[in-house]
Amino acid sequence: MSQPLLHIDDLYVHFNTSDGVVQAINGASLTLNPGEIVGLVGESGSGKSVTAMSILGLVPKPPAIYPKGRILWKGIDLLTTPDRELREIRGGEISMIFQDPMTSLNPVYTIGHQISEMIRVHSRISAKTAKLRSIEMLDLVGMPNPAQRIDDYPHQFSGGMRQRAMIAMALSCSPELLIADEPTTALDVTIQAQILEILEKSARELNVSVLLITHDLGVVAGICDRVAVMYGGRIVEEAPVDDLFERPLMPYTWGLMRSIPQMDKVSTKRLYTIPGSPPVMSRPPKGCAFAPRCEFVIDRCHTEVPQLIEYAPHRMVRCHRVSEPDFIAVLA
Amino acid sequence: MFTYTIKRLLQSLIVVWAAVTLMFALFFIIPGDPISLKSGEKSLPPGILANITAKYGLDQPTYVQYFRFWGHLFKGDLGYSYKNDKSVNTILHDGLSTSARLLFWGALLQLIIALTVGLTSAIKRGSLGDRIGTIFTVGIQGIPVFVSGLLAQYLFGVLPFQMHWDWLNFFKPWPQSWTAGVIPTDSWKGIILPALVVAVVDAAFIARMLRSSLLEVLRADYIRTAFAKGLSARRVWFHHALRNAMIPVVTVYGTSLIAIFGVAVQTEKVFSLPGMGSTIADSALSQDAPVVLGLAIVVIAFGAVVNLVVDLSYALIDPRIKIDSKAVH
Repeated sequence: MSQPLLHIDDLYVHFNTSDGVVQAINGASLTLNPGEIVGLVGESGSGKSVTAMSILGLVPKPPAIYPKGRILWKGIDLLTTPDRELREIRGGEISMIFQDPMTSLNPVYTIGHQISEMIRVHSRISAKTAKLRSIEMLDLVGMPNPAQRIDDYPHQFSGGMRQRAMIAMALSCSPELLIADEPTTALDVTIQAQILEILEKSARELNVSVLLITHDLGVVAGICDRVAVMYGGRIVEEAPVDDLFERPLMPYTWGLMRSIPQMDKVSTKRLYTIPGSPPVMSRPPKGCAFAPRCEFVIDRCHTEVPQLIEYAPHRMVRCHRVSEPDFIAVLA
Repeated sequence: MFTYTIKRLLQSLIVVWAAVTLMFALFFIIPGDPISLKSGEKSLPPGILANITAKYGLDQPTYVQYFRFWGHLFKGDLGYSYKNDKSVNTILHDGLSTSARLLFWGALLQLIIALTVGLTSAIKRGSLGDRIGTIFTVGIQGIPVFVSGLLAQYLFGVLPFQMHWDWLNFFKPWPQSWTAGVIPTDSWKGIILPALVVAVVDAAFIARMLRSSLLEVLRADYIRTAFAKGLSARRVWFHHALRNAMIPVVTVYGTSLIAIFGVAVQTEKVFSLPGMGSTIADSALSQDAPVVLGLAIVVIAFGAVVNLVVDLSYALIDPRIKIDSKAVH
């Protein structure tokens, strides 16, 4: 296998707040290979957005501190990269799109200005060439009449069109990695599928890796190659997407699967919900973060943090019970 | 936008008309008459009194005086002072040129101070500079001009004079010759203290406004996007944040421009500058209607223009704001 594009290695991110230290990320590791689309799934507060923002150094420090870990981008540690060099990577090699396209574009500048601005920061080209490139990018993401619409302001676009513009902007400098932080959460359901399709199509076309952050397993199933599930600031399971859906190994993933409504099964039972609520990260549980909510909990789970182990090729899982011979059968 | 501007200017004319009419009426309601005030303690013989009254047209019925005033005004003639027979045009021209220069430099300095303090304290939030800025802005707002003016004169005039710190002495005479209306040709030093006194009062307020407005903008998603694009912090602050934070600032700056007209007048008094400062008070006390009315017209027109510029600037700052001619009633 080629050198990984991105390797997050045992990352810790803590926040100093007036209520004490919030341990948002407690040893997260994740690898992304060139051309891969990887989903990072978790509920609110699991640390997925903080992980994504940390890659680009967008988490304000203070309050954030990085007590441990590295984020290796093609071998260099982004956490220790000076700001000037980081700025060239931001947008140029790694770009990012955000959850709410309504507020992610600056209301006082035209779409064209905002795309061209980014292109011109990363390459020495004329304003005219940058504009042509912007039109080309808008065309790629399926914006109708890009040559006219380029002079429109964000408020003149619908939510879906704005997210297309965000994708066009993010891809305009031919990045190698696109981080999409809940790119469809704020959109209408009908638009969501379109945006995902555009995202996947353009990424595959331009051979861009994607780190797709979402809480929606349906989104992951649609376009990802591989999935990492995050809980309580750690990756708890990582697997190729089909394997994960076929046979989850970690009780949390199992719970998530069961709480998806199934259209093909007629059921009179209420939809399953995972009992309890996510851990408070200013006082995380001593052992496995999921232990207080887990149906399969044993004493050891409360005292000892399980390690992320390779259960089968490409299948990583963080659970004490996974090595028990008949445990997987129970989850299936 | 053009139609809107014309409409707004016509509206201002109505405001000027209403204000002048109201003040005209007030001069007839208040007791006493300008001619006996003019003569002071001595009582004039009735014949002479009648002559003088006739000379200023004060023997005519009120409505005749009123229409005469407008008649002259349309010809650009504001009449003559009851007190010293000088043309009001001349009085305003001489006095207002000083006041306008003071106002210009005060307003400019105010903007520079407000932008610098507001920006630094928002960007370096919680830093020593921000704390000093906060203390400065909160503290200075409550100080009246006659205190800050005298304090400035002491710190940058009297004290350096006593200590022979010549470089710190900014208490110099007001410049005598000017080019382009506002640029002094002899010395800049005389402008600095009075302009500073005019500037600081509202500069503090505007700076606080800019700080809170910027802090809100800096939390916006599009600022995060701008950083994610790989822009430098400077570019994000000045290009992306500042413009979005300007709307409330422009509003208070406009209001302040009108308000510091009054501050400028007080400052002229404190620094004994040959502006409108004393003329306004004296004319009002001696019921010198032509001077007061003339001045009122200038101030109201100035206010109308400032308000118009503020409204037009909203549309320039934020494309979501449409200057809609239909919105004007």
